[in-house]
Amino acid sequence: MSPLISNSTATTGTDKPEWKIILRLLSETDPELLGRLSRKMLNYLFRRKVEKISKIMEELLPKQVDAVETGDLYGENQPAPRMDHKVLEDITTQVFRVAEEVLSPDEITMALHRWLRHEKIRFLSVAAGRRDVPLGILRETLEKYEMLPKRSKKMEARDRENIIVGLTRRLFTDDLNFISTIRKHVSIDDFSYVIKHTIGPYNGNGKVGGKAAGLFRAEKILNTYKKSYSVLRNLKVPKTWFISSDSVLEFISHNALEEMMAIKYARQDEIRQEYHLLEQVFKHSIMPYSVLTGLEHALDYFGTTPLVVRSSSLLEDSTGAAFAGKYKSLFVANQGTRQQRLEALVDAVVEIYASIFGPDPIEYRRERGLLDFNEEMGILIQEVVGTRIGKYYFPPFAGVAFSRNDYRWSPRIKSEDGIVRLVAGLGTRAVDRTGQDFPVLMSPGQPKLRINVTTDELIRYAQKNMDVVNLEKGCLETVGTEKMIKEYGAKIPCLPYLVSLYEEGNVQLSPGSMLNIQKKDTIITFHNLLEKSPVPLFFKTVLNILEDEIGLPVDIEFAYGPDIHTPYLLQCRPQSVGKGNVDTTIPSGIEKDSILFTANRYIMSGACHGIEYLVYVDGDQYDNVESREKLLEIGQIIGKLNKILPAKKFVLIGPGRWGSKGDIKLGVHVGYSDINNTAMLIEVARMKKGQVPDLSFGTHFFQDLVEADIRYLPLYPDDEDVVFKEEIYFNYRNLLTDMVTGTESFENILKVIRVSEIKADSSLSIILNGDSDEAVAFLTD
Amino acid sequence: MSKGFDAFKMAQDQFDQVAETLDLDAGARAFLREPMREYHFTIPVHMDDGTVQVFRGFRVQHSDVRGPCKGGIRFHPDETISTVKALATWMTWKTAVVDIPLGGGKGGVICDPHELSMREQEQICRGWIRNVWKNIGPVQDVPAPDVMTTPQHMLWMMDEYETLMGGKFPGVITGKPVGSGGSLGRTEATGYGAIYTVREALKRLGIDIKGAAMACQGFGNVTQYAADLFIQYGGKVVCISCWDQKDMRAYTYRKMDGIDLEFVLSITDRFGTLNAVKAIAAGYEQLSGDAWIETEADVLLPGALENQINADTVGKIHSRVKVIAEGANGPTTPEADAVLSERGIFNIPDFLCNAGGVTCSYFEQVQNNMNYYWEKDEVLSKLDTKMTTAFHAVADLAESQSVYMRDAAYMIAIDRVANAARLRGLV
Repeated sequence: MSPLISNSTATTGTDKPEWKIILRLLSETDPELLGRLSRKMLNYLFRRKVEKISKIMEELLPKQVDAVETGDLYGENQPAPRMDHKVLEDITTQVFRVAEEVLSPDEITMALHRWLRHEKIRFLSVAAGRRDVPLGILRETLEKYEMLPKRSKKMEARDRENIIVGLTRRLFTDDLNFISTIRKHVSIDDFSYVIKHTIGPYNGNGKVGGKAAGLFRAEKILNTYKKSYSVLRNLKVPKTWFISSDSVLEFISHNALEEMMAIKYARQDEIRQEYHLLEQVFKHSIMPYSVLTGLEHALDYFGTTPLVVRSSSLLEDSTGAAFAGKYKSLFVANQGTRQQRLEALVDAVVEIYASIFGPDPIEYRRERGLLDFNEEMGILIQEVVGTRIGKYYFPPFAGVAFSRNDYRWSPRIKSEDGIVRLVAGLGTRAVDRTGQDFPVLMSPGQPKLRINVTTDELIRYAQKNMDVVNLEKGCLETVGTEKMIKEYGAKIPCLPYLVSLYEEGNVQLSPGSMLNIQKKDTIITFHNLLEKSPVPLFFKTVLNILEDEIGLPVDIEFAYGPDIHTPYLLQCRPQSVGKGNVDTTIPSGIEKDSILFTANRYIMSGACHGIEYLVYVDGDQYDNVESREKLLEIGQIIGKLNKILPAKKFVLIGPGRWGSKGDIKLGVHVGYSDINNTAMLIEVARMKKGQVPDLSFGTHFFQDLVEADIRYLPLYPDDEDVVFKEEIYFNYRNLLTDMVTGTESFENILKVIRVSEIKADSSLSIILNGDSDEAVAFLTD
Repeated sequence: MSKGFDAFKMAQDQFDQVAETLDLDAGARAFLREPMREYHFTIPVHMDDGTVQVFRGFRVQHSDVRGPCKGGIRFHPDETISTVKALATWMTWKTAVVDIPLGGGKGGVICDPHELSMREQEQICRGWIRNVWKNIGPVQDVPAPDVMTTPQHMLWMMDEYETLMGGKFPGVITGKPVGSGGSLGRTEATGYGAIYTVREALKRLGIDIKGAAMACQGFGNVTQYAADLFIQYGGKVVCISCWDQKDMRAYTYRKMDGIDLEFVLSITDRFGTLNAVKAIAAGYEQLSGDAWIETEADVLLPGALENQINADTVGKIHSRVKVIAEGANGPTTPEADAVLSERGIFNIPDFLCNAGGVTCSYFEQVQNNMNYYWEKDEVLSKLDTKMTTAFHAVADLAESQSVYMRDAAYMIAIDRVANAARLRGLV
């Protein structure tokens, strides 16, 4: 052995290097720890490419002998033989002998010190490695970790990663994609935050659910990009508490409501009938103590800010089913005495628990074969982003954003340009499609292209009402935007970015000075927000990063406040999930005979199934109509068919631009009410005099189409590689005159074909896949 | 070979018919059948993505024999030269029938503003002016907003024109916002203008406007102001109709003892839709969208949509109705016209009845050119004079020649233009 270096900090007063003393001590007191340290040293030396260590490792490897040839030694399909315990001890000796040869005593001592420090947080690896570690134990473990001095928290990267993966599995999900995307973006402290704010039984092993997981992942991913993108710098997530998914089971057993679990196997009408009773039974039950005290802590933490209580189902992430809007999200004004606030919060939580047994979610699960899945559901309690304005509380604006745009109003907009639905006030109006009120749509990749440009469009499609929390009444309320602006004017944050002025029948897009805004006529256009703020860039950045990192199109919910530089992320999930699980994969092996048409340009994702009728306007015949009256009448007949044919079971196929307000020859003159029951609006662009006409992309009533979920499809029959079986519309019986009397003279122009006459007992499916830019319409049984 | 509907051919056919009635000489017919000038040009625009896109622009000057051409600029992807020529021709007749010293023109660009950023639209506007600035102007041709063009487009165009001219020429374009060269009274002009003609028509028929009843279709800008003035004159408005976005259908709201306009406006949104609940609570009958046409009234005012009075609906018109005032464009189909003529219902044709708008544009231009702006009352009183005079000229002719009002209006308009051309020695 080499002599020790004197005067070294790593030496003791004796001749023996410190590391040897440590090893001696451990061999007598903690041989297991010694074993772990020797393995670490083995790896350490291996990384330093010490040759002798490689030999030791080789010796450790089972002898690879060709089992087929020898027949008796071990081969790859046989278990490796167990080594003598003595061998392992020898290895420890050998490893440190080699270490002594190639490393200085100081280096060995320091390495041992470091690893021994790491050992201090081994408790964390142990806890994180247990998938069933009780919530209370995990909380204490993480608290203990948190208390450690920073120096003691250091650990090897792989250990840290292992702990992070363990904690992710324990708290969020086993989903491998989720784990792999989150690994490099989170720290152990991030989990400390979650667990500190998680309510649940001490011994419980529940998770926080899909919604919470999605938000956590998105937030952590975006945090790592904050340094590179200034628009992300102020991004926040609202203060949040979680209720673990098993709390609901605790609630049920605490109140002996187990028999309720069987309701899901009842008939739909029985469920519907019993549900209200069940909700009341739930409301009169007692919240378990563990959850109740947790909620009290949460209330102390939140103060009197309004809260939103959201479901966070385990099914959301484990099955890929959306459950969008199936379970409730409830707003709680959080006003009054502490007891009143607590009661209101408990009420909301219980109502969400009851919603698990609601007829709609159960039907949804039944349809997807998820009925037997257990009922566990996490809950998120989030502060509502907003500002108090008079008796109201709301964010200046909020909404939802999608990284893929399935509603493109111009060929200049690509699917990956994304789409944002913006509303003033709470985002509830952007999430739900009311069909009567309209959010402003913006494509972050092309923020300057507007759907609404004329005065009429700007007014018709302006947001008329906004959702706010009424702090006095303690409830969610819908208030007219005009009334709100008239009452509070410039007190509403960001108002100059949201409104345009309506004067003398004209819209002045940029409101300019906000002097006397209360006396002016305003409409919500978001003009300045889109033209003069960093908001479009924010969405472009966020959606691109999230889609890249997660590897799937995503959708997010957001709110802003109190200014245009402070976005809050409220939710993030894969977009395919958000769309209600519409499968837009084009099936392989569709029989050629059953295809009616295909397309490969400007396709926006979507699908329509069960189409029973085709309404077809023949382009050539339409062109030949000489009288304007007759052309107008075609539009009126379409309007009548729209009311007669079964809703969403027919498609309209016509030449050029549906709803054209210009030259009537270029498209059938219809209003939205003439087409509002169709499943899909199809425009056919046929070559005329060597030119293919531009199609409308539905711009004449684009926002109506979006809100009613009517799909749009352009067909270019003259393209190569597409199918367009025009003969269908001539070879089968035209039902027009049966359906609308007095239309004999239109029979050559307008065709109504029943799909089941083309092929008995069949209906038409049309699948549009925006990602591959392909669409196909085919007959199915 | 496809024949199809051709807008300009239709305008020519209509002209030929009237020319025949007027026994117009061949030279005048040939001259007025075609536009005097047509400009076709390209507008290259550097798009936001760095590419260059070339747009096609037009300006058609159908006739300037009575004064500078007047007519809108349309931005439309479906624009065709046939449509622009037809519309320019109709503008000539429209300015002539109200006897304002202007001619007829129309222009456009084949583009869809839905697919263009504001910057790109601005480039199109400025490019349009750079192509025709030498051929338009306060004393040559005065454009205005039209389909899918807005006051903002007009201001960009005016700015470009003034930059090229090196001076201030707000009269080059009308339809500007008040404060940027626009005229007061524009909002009221079309609705009020219609009622000036109604007032005169009732006088001629010996019906006292005080106590007269009017049934209106629509409740947009035109109908709202028409109702306002009609009530000011002592008449009552017994119904209005509107589209209900929520129910996806139109409704007629009826109150036979007359609507309370102030109340109705207070429950109407900007799109002219009434709050149904409040209306019903206040005692208004909610009827189907087409019930306005069968309502008992002295005057019918179709104020919003085309083809409302057609072969199917004309029979439903109440026997009390004596006057139909066409506030909207093209509310009556030719089949219905024949029935109305037969029944002796007095028709105030659209291009006379709703000419208040173009007359106010003329006033805007006059004020621009002298750089002196009138108060609203002055604008409206001048509008009254113009509309009243124009109405009586048409009505006198209809009476003296025993022709239908619409025919009389076309005859007087075409005769005025032909005469101006003749006096200039052109034909």
